[in-house]
Amino acid sequence: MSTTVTGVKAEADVRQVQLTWDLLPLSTMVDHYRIHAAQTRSSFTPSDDNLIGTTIGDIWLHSGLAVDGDSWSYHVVTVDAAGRHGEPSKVVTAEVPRSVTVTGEAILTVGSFDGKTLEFHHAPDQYAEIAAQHPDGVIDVDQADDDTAAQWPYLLPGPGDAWAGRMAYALTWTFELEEVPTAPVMAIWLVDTTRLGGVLEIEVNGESVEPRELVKGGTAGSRKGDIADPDAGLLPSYHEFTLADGLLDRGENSVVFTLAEGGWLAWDAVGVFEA
Amino acid sequence: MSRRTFVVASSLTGAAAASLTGLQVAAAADPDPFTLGVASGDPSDDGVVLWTRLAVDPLAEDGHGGMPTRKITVEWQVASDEKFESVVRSGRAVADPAWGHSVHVEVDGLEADRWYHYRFRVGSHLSPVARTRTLPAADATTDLHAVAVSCSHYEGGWFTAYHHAAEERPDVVLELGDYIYEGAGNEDGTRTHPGSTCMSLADYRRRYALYHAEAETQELHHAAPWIVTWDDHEIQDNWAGIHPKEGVPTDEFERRRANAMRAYYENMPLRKQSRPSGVKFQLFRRFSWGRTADLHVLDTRQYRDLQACHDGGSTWWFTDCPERDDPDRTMLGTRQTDWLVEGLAKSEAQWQILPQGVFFSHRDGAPGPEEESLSVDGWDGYRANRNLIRDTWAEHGHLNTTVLTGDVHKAFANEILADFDDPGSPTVGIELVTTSVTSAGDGVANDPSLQPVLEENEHIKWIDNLRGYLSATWTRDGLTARFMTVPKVTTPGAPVNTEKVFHVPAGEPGLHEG
Repeated sequence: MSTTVTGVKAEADVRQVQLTWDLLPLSTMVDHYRIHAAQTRSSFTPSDDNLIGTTIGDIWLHSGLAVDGDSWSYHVVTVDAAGRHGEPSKVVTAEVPRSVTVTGEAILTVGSFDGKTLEFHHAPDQYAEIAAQHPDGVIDVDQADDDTAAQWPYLLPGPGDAWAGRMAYALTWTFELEEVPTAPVMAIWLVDTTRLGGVLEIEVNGESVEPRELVKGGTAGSRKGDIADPDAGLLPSYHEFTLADGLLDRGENSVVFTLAEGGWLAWDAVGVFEA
Repeated sequence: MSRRTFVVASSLTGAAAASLTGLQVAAAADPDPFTLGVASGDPSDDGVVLWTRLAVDPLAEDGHGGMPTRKITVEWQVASDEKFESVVRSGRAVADPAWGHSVHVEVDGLEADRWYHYRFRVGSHLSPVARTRTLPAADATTDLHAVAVSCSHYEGGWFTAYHHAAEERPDVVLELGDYIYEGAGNEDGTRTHPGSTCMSLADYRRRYALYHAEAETQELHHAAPWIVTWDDHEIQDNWAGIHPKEGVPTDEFERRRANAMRAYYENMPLRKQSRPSGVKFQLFRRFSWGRTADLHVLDTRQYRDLQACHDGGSTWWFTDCPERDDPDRTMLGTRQTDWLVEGLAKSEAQWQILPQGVFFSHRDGAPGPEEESLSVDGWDGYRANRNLIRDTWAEHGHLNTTVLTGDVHKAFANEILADFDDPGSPTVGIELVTTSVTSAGDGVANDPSLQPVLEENEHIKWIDNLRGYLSATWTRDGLTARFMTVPKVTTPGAPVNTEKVFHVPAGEPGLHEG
């Protein structure tokens, strides 16, 4: 029975590529899948040097990629119960776009886009304080205060978090804009999410925008705050999306982030950019 | 008897092949492949399963124990004496990398009710010599002396209880589940699992190698045949049938189950009939200890319905959960329930013993008569199925029924009532719950927090929160249960103590302290 992986798809987004493939049936002796990656647009030889992960599932998030965009190619290889490697899948290539944090102009930011929670409130591991200080799941942060990140809790808990009372926490961020950007892009970078994944709902001045699906992450960001630590077990993810005309106002604005489903997210930074 | 030469036929190359004549000290270029020891299990009245798994580097990350991707021939011998001057059976088996280089030899043609010695050989390497035995003949009335163990979490501490259990020289070891724990390494434990949460076959193989490499584990495996069943941590905390802990079946969890089942079989002395195929795995089975006892070994995970009032996996105790009483909810599944009911109905053995995974008796955790707080993972969460089993043995007059349990990391001695809703109803059986070998660390002697459970549940006669194992002897006259404890597992080498003894006279189920 063939143990070559088929159906490999690569979906590229800012700083990440999501790979999926077809699982081989249980009747083959396949134990797990090895994912190999190289910064090229063509096929390459899978080896231990270009192995980026192993899984028994059919999905892999390659994350923390260059801010400036890049080309990445992938092969998925099976390992069977005897330890033998199958033939590599056909190569798939993904073009990772550039982040608005390098192509655009920052209008307003909270935190630094640096893979760390550390500048946020209660980081890196005092999550119990978030529940203690916001027992009703409501957080308010005003950009007018000096150091916005220092008042913004590093986690936004959700219904999957028993320690936070199993609530969909809502953070309301208020800020002033002197002028409305002509091509606004919101950037939300996360240091980590939980193995539950989840959904982040966003309202801009009372209008809902497309909710963001949260990847199933490392579940380590409640205790570790820097993706540069190779043992931290963090899985960063990135959301950059345009805001429709008319959503933002000149003067006072209010954005509400609600962790509607799943477990917490750990903030890296949030910003509004002129694309 | 003439000395029989142990013929060597090995497919190892290099230095090992060059040393085929006679014994040689293992050199660095020819490492010992028996680092995981040997084991035996599933005895019959004329045979037993012999097991080993080859590994030169148990903790190799790929789970293959440092072995090459090649079949290796393994020689085996069974003798009636320790020096192998009287070899009674011998042969060759193949250690296949597809099965993790494990070997399962089903030996037959032995005499009933006898002890034997066995060993394996690969190249110039001899395995440790170990003891095993056959079951008594069908009409024999031999006493049964067994030890029961469960919940040997590596990170909890040292497996001192295994050592003391081995010293008792039992007839058989009953393993009641949580032989390994699947979790990622926790640096706050006394010891730390290398690696992360077990998901792939490679992960689980490596985890079993860690546990099999322990000296005390090997000591107990080498002392007697084992009869094993599992609980949840051989796959994932609180898994139930097709459902993972989080409650929603997924393709990935099916795959994980298949991996874990295969790794369990590869690492246990089980017969061919228990070899898994995908997620099909035959673990429930029966043994007859002559006319003294029938052991109905149960599988309380594979065929279960999802735990009642499932909330995604964060709480397992409920005060208000009417779903528990749904008469269609099953712990054992239809096929196993029918098999057990039929076996209990037909059995003519004096004692019925049910080695199984989770707390059988009623156990109310909330003080006072108004509220109940019951576990949904134990049999209280599958009451109709539990009551059917109990009523079956009671109706057939099997008042000498002993349910053996692990799981809860504490020792319990319980009287099983004809009706748990009526504390005045008669006792129809006994449940002996062994404490954990290591899980939960050292524990607490004379733990006062256990008092409310004792007060709330009159049929629960004794609870203890130290680590250890259960020793039990079934004879024509009665059952003697000895709860053995060790004061510490966070440091090695602790002594053993007989914490409590109960006698159960034959035909009169009830716990008498002795």
